[in-house]
Amino acid sequence: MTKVANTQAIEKATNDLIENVKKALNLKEIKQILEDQHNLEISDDIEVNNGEVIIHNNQIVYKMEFEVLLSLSVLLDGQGDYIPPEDTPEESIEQLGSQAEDIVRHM
Amino acid sequence: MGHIICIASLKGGVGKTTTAVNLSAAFASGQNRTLLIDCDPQGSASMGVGISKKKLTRTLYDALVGTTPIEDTVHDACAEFLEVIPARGEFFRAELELISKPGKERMLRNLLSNIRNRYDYLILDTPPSLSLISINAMTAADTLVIPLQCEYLAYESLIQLLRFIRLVKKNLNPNLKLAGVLLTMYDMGEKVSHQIADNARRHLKNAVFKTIIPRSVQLREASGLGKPLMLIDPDSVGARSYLELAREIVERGKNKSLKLET
Repeated sequence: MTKVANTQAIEKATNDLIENVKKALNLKEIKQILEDQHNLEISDDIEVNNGEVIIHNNQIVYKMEFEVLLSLSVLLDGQGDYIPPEDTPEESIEQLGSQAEDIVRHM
Repeated sequence: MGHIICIASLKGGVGKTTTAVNLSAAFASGQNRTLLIDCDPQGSASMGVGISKKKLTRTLYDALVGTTPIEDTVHDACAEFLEVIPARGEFFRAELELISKPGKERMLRNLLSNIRNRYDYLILDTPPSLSLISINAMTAADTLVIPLQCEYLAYESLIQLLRFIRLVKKNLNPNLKLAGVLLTMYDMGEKVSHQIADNARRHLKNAVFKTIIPRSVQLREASGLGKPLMLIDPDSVGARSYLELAREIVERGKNKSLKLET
């Protein structure tokens, strides 16, 4: 196959493009979108991880991946068996209160 | 220009219509020109201010589908300074008829712009659903009052409603503000009432109205009689609570925007 351009130059240009897209991202908006999409509350700022150029619905788009900090836990008993969550009403109310506070704060 | 308040909740039976009716009456009792707009096909708010649905010839439906000017759908209600745009069963069709129209989310807002100058307060009673009518009401409103029944399930639906409001504010009505969350059906003898009220105040702070609406048989009965409680028993706890709420809304309006205390 006949090489018609420098491979490294193309890779560098692609990487530069992705880096520039990363810098242009509105992370606050994206955090909101991720929270709505996945129905969760993200407890810290999000960080953009990787990006790539892909074809989506017949157009060139940028697929950006993010790293988010989530605090999750599971319960297990002395035999190592998983205990499914059983929120007390007080815990449920507390969680709902925190969620409502977060939404109202940003309204 | 009249201030438009939307009473919103995704859950039925939380005191939404009771709040719309009695808050309207409270504003009117202070000689504020008040228009109650019934956006719920069940027409409960209309009946709550003495309107007989059977005798109606023009309702909000007629204005929304463009067959009648909005001015002609205004009816006298049971109190001085209080008027109402009623709704009834055919309002269910409005949703289907509006769905294909351009600017369908802003139709109510546009209609009310023709008459809001005539009033000091316009109160929108909404259906308990995420419908096009609810979107219209929130798009038309300046502020929102969210009744929060002091029960677990109501607290869950509050989160969904707040997320929905966030979308409406972002996409349709950036000036929409939260007047406040109103604790309703508060029962001093019930542990859950205390839990919800304490938690809401701790997390939502000044976004929760100081006024609390108690669980009240009188409030329930008054709606069946087609009158706000204020006209039946102005000294009752329920009537006084809504007067207090009206004062609090006026005070908050002076501050214009509500910022959550930290």
